Amino acid sequence: MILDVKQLVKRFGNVHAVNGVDFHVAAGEAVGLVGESGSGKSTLGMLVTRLLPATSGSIRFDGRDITSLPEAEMRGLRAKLQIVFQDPWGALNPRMTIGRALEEPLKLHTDLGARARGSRVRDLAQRVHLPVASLERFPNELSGGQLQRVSIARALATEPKLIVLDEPTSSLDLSVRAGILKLLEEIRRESGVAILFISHDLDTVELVTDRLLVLYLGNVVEQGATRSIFSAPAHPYTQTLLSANLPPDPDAKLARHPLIGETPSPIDLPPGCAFASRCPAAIPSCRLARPPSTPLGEAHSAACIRIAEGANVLIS
Amino acid sequence: MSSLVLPLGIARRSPTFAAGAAIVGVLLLTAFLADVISPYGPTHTFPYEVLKPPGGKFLLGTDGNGMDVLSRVLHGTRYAFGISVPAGLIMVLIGVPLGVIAGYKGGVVDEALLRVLDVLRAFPSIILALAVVAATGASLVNVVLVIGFLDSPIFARVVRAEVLALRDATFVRAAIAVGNPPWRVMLVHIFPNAILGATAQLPVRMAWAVRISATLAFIGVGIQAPAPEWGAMIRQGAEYVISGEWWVATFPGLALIGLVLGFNLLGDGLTDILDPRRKATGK
Amino acid sequence: MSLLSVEDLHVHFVSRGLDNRLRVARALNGVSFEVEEGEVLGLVGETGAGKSLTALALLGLLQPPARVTRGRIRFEDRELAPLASGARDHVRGTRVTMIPQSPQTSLDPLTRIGEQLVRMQREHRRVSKADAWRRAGEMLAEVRIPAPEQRMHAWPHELSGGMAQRVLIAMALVNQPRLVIADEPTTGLDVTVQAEVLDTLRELVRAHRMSAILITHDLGIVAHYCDRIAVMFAGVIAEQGPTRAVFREQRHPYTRALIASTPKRIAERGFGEVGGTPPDLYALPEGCLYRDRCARAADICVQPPPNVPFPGKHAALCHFATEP
Repeated sequence: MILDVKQLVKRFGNVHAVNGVDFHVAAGEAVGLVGESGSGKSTLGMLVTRLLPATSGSIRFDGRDITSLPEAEMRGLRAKLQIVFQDPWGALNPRMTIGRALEEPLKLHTDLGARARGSRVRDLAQRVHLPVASLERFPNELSGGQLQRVSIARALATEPKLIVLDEPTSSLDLSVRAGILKLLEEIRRESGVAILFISHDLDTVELVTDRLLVLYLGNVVEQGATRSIFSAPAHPYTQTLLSANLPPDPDAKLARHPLIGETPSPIDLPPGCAFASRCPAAIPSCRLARPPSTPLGEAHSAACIRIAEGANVLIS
Repeated sequence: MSSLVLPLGIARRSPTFAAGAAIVGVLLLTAFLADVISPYGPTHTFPYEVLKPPGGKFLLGTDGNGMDVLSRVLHGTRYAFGISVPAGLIMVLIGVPLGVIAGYKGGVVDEALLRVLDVLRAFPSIILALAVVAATGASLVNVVLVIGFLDSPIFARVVRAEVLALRDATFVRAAIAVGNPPWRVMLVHIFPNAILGATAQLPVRMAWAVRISATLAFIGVGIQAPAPEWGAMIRQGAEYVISGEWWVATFPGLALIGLVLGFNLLGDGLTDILDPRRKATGK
Repeated sequence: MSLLSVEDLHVHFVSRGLDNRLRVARALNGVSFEVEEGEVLGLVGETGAGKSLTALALLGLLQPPARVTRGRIRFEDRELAPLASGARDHVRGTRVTMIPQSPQTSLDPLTRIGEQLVRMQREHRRVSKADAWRRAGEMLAEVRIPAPEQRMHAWPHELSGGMAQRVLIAMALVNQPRLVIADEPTTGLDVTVQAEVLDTLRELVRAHRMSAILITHDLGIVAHYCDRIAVMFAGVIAEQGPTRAVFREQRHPYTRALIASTPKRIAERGFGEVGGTPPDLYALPEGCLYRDRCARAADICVQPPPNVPFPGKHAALCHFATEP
C-alpha cells in the first residue's frame, strides 16, 4: 500500500475540516476524493502531502509513518510523493523559467550534473508533450493547459510513487481538460504511478478513477469501486450528488433528489451523522452518533444506519 | 533608433516615473560633473563679495562667507547622493534579509522586528538620529550609518508585507512540496518575488535619507559648514532671510525639494510600472 | 420579429505596446444571432471566445479601449447603438438586465439586501419606497429564498453562495425585463445547489415570459436548460442551433471537438484529438479563425467560411459543414 490513512482529523480552531477519515491507495491505483465545498477533500490533499499538519490520526506512506515526521526527513520522501495544484498559473514561480522549474526537483533529490539534468528536463517536456522551446519561457507566456502540463512534468521528475492531483482540470477550459486527462492516462500506463484525484466533477472522476471516496463535511460517507458507486450509490448523499449531476446530453432523463436547506457550517458540528439535517431519509437515531461504516460487498461501504433496513434508497 | 523606443514606451506607461527619473538623472549627472560645471570652487571665498544678490558674476548670489551659492548648490548634490545611496545600500542589505526572514519564518526575528518598529513609531526617527549623531560625532560616515540603520526596519517592514502575502502563494506551497528546504524557499522563491514591491519603496526611502541628513545639518548636528551640504547651507541662510538676503537659504532649499520630489516620483512611478506589468511579464 | 437581433458585431481592443506601436485585439469578429421571445439561448465557448464581451456589448457597457467597429444590435425593434446614454441606461435597467458572476463581489457589501432591491427599482422606474419594498419582498419569495421578510434586512455576507446568487437573480428580474443575461450564474456553487438555482431561474423566465441568454462553459447546463445553443470561438459563432439538434449532430469541427471532449463521451469513445492553444486575438489567421486547430483544415480554409444553414434555425460557419 502506497498510502494508508487512519482516523485522520484536522481542526482549524473549532472548524472541523476533516473528521476521522480512513482510506488507502494501493500501488498503481487511481483513487478519487469527491465532494462539494466544505467536504474537506482539498484539506485531505494537503494533509496527505504534509503541507498541513494533522490534528490527529495517522498517515503511512510507502510503509513509513509520516504523520509527525520531522520536516528535514520528510523532504527526502517528497521525491516520491508529489502534488499538482488546481491553479496552473499560481503553481509556478513567475520569475523562474519552465526549464529551471523542472530542474529544481532534480537538483534537490538527485546527484545529476548540469548536463544530465538538462537532458532529463528535455525528456520530461517531451513526455508531457510540451515543445522544447517552452523550457526557455516564463510561466506568463504559457496557456493554462500548458502550465498544467508543466506542473505534471515537475511532479514526475523524481519518479514518484504517488501523485496527488487537486482539481487539476477545474480551472481549465473544456477543450483543454481532455488533453490533461489523456496525459494522465498515458502516464499511469507508462509508469504505474498511483494517483489521488481530488475533484468535484463527477463525470471526470468516473472516467479517471478505479476507486472513489465520497466526502461530506469532513466525513467519508461512501467508498468503493467507482463503477459500483455510480451504478448503485448507497448513501443518500451520494445518491443526491449523482442525481444533481447534469450530463451533457439533452435526452438524458434527470431524476433529482431535492435536499433540504443548504450545507451547514463546519463549525461545532452537531453529534450524529453530518448529513442528517438535510437527508430525506433521516430518522431521530441518525442524530445520536456517527454512523459506522456498513460493508456492502466487495470493498464497497457506506456510513448510514438506514442501509440495514433498506431505507437508504431515495425515491425522486 | 530602437534603443530610444523602449524608454519612450516606459515614459508613456508612467509619466511619473519618467519625470522622477529625469530629475534624479539630471541631479546625479550634476553630482558627477559638479567640478566641471561649477563656475567656482564650492568653498572658494570671495571676501569682498559677501552676500551679493543673484546676478552677474554670481548667478545665484553669494552667502555670508562670500562663497558662490550656485557652486555650493551644485556640489551639494554630491552630499545628497553620497548619503542617500550608501544609506540606501545599508537599508537594502539589512532590511531585505530581515524582512524575508521575519515574514517567512516569523518567530523571534519577526517579534523583534515588530518591537523595533513599535519603538520607531513612538520616537520620531529624527530624534533618534539626532541622539546618535550627537553622541558619536557628525561625520559623513556616521550620518550615513545612522540613517541607513534607522530606516532599515521600515524597509524591512515593506519587504515583510510582501513576503507575508507570498507565503500562502500556491507556488510557494509547491516549492515546499517539491522538497525545498526553508532557506531555499526564501532565497529562490520568496526573495525574487518580494523584491519587486520593495524596489519601488527604495527611492522613497532615499528621499527620506536626503531629508533627514538635511534636517540634521539644519539643526546643527549633521554635516556642518563650510561643507556644501544643502541642510547646512539652509541653516546658515536662515539667519539672513529676515534681513532680506533670501537667496542664501532659498536655492539650496529648492534643490532639496527638487531631489526629494524626484525620488518620490521615481518611487511612485516604479510602483505603477511594476505592478500591472507584473502580470504581463514575469521578468 | 425577434426580440434581440445581433448582426455582424465586431469589437476591437486598441492599445499601445511598450514599443509604442498600436496593437489591435480582434475580440469579436462578426457575431450574428437572434433570440426570440420566451427563448433561452446558451452561449458557450472557451475563455477569450468573447461570450462575456458579447454580453457587455448588448448591455452597452463596453469601455475604451474596447470599441464596436461594426455591426448592429436591434432590441425590441430598436437599434441600441445610436441611443443616448440616458436612454441606454434605462434599457439596461428595465428591459435587458444581467445576472453577473460571483455574487460575493457583485453585491454591495455595505447595504442590506432589501435596500439594494429597492435601489434597483427606484433608479430605473418611478415607484414609491413602500411599493418598491413590497415588490422586493415578493421578488425574494419568487426566487425561493426562505423567510423572505427577514432576509430583506440581511447583509450580503450573511448569505450563502446559493442564496446570494438567488438575490442577484431577484435584482435582475425585479424590473420585469424582457431579456436576462446570466453570466456563468452557477460558477463556484456546489452541484446540488446549482441545479436548484437553475431550476428557479428557468421557472421565473417561463412564468414571466422572458428570454434569457445563459453564458456558460458547462455543456451539461446547456443541455438541460437551454432551448438553443450558440458556440463561440475567437469572437465568432462557430455553430448555433436547437440544443437537441446540435448535441445529436455537430456541424462544426469545433463543436464536435467540444462535445467529444466531455468525460462522458471520452468514456464511450476514448480520447480523440485533444486540445489546442487558445487563439491569439492579436494575430488571428486569415479566413477561418479555427483553421490553425482544425483537424479538417484544408487549402480552402484561407477563405472566410460561409455560414451554412440547416433546417430548424441551425447554422455552422464552416466550408465542410455539410460533410459528416
